[in-house]
Amino acid sequence: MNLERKPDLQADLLIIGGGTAGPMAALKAKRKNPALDVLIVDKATVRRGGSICRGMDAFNNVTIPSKATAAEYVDSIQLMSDGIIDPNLSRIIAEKSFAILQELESLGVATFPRYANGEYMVQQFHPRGAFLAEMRGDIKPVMEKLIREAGVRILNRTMASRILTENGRAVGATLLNIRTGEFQVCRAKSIILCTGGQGRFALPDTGYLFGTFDCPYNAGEGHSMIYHAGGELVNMEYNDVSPMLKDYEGPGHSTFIRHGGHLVNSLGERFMAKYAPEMLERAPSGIREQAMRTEVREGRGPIYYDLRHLAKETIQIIKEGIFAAERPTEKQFFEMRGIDIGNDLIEITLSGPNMCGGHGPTGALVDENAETTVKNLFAAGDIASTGWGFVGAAWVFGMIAAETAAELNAKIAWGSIDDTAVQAEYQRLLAPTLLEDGFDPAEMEYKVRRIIKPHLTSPKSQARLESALGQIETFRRDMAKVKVTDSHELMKFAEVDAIIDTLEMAVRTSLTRKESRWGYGHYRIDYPQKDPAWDKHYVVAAKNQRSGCMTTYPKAVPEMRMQEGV
Amino acid sequence: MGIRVDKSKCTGCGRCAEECPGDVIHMNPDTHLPFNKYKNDCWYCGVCEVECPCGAATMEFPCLIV
Ligand SMILES: Cc1cc2nc3c(=O)[nH]c(=O)nc-3n(C[C@H](O)[C@H](O)[C@H](O)COP(=O)(O)OP(=O)(O)OC[C@H]3O[C@@H](n4cnc5c(N)ncnc54)[C@H](O)[C@@H]3O)c2cc1C
Ligand code: SF4
Ligand code: SF4
Repeated sequence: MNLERKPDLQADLLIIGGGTAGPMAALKAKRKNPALDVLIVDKATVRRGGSICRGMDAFNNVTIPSKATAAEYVDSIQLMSDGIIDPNLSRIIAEKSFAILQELESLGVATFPRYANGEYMVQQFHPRGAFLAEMRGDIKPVMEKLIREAGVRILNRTMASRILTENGRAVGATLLNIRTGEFQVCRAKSIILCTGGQGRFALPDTGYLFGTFDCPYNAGEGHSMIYHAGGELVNMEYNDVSPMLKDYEGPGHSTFIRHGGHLVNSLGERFMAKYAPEMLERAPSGIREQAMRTEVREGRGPIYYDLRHLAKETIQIIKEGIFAAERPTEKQFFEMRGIDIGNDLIEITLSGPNMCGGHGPTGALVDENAETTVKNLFAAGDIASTGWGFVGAAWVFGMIAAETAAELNAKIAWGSIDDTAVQAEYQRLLAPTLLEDGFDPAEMEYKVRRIIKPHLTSPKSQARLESALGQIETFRRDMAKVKVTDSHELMKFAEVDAIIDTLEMAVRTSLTRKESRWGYGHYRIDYPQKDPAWDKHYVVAAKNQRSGCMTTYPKAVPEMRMQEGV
Repeated sequence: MGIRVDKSKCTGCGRCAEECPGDVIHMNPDTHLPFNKYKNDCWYCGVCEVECPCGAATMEFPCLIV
């Protein structure tokens, strides 16, 4: 294949990733300043890319004033994160989420079912407080239409591969068209990364590389871009392991549990009563994982969802939610397997660990404007450490990042592009196209991802983590033997490189946090207790700009700021 | 796996290939029909099904999922 260098592009604001956070950012930037030149790129398409490509059945984290309070939300996230999430970010999500819900409703992007008395259908999913509103609608095509109408420029099938910096600030990005193999630089005054979580982390139990819970087209390139640009990432040692429908590896947990479903073992026991008698299935995910793994280890597996006690009308609502809005192909799956969710047990598998700021605390360290530790580089959605952000963080921080960037635009001068950095990136992507023979990117990906579950699942140990580091070194060596034949494979080559980066972050931060926290979220067999010295402290993963090597260090989590007038 | 096409209904419009988020589906330049160029990259999302204006596309689960 030919990696053709195309003339540079330019935009006031470059948004990378057009899934959930990206289109909201684009819309809000234009609303703030219609003259702003906004470009959004997505390696899939803005119309259908990302986690909510077919819609979503719930707005998991919206604080509706009559239903819950911001304080309850902050409390819940502090409980789930054991104090390792910036509470100011949770407060912002709580305060701004309801206005977003109302706006999505009035724009016709999504609908929010109500009870007969006119109140929104809201249920409890978090350990404390009711923040989950039922939602319906094929969100993405409507959003895409809105941003086109607002004058946002859209480039589909365009993958960003590196952020270009000048004196610690972002000034542009390198782009690859995954269908044509064209390579391009885009200069920008501000950049918002909305590339989602690391969807392609541990190999799922099926062995299928793309059979993941999180969107597999998000392969952690955003995390990797922030890292190489000099930014900080936190909580990368946290393992997100959720119960997944066996083989399908799709969602069900939040929908089943909020409607009163139970987790049971093979003896039919509602075993969470033993491990979290008050919170039961709503216990923080690391506690739940520890419980499920213990049941399986002690011979009481498999684990199932049991919905057989629920009323027919409730089963109907569950089916509408999952089958019509969230993961519609689950319906076909159940039909093929002959499973009737109201009458049969639903078997679960424990794939993972996954790595996602939407379903956990991992991601880029950001401030209250969603700015990373690299100036003018923002991150919103599953890529950022905003604490179980779900769609709420994507929409709220997508908006805040865009409004901040739009406001600052007039004050930001254009940076200059370092051609040496551009050349280095061009050469990195060119190298696999020049080989006559070599490994397939998919083989390489399999080789990397198959070590994640055995080496990172809790209980973690120093020896297993160090052994993983040794293997990561060989992966880096073997990447030089990967050969690509077309631009689609070149995208995969860049993805595998990002997977290796995120894996190294997870392993090194796991070694650094010499304590146990979050149940099986990070359980070190050699340090089985929580150490108060680690309270309110992140482990940061960052690139040592002098050595070019990965470094990790503790950093204090910000205290809750008193609000003005309080 | 990816898309399964009902040739009697497909008009060759290319919507499925345009929108498949995994870049699985491409159009065959000779037959003007869609095909699964990268069938092992399918997330079984069903976007191809909903984007097809003619009811010609169905999602076929990958081997390891069913
Ligand atoms: C199956 C499933 C069920 C869920 N259920 C719920 C729910 O019921 N309620 C809820 O609130 N939340 C739910 N979530 C979580 C929620 O969907 C996510 O938190 C949210 O959508 C994340 O938005 P995002 O913009 O960060 O990422 P995404 O929406 O995933 O978008 C990321 C985009 O970035 C693009 N991209 C990635 N890398 C690059 C690159 N290098 N260059 C260019 N583009 C790139 C991708 O193609 C994609 O379009 C669910 C998630 C999943 C996967
Ligand atoms: S199901 Fe989704 S990923 Fe698979 S071919 Fe269809 S659109 Fe592409
Ligand atoms: S969208 Fe439907 S009609 Fe159009 S090419 Fe695809 S299968 Fe054929």
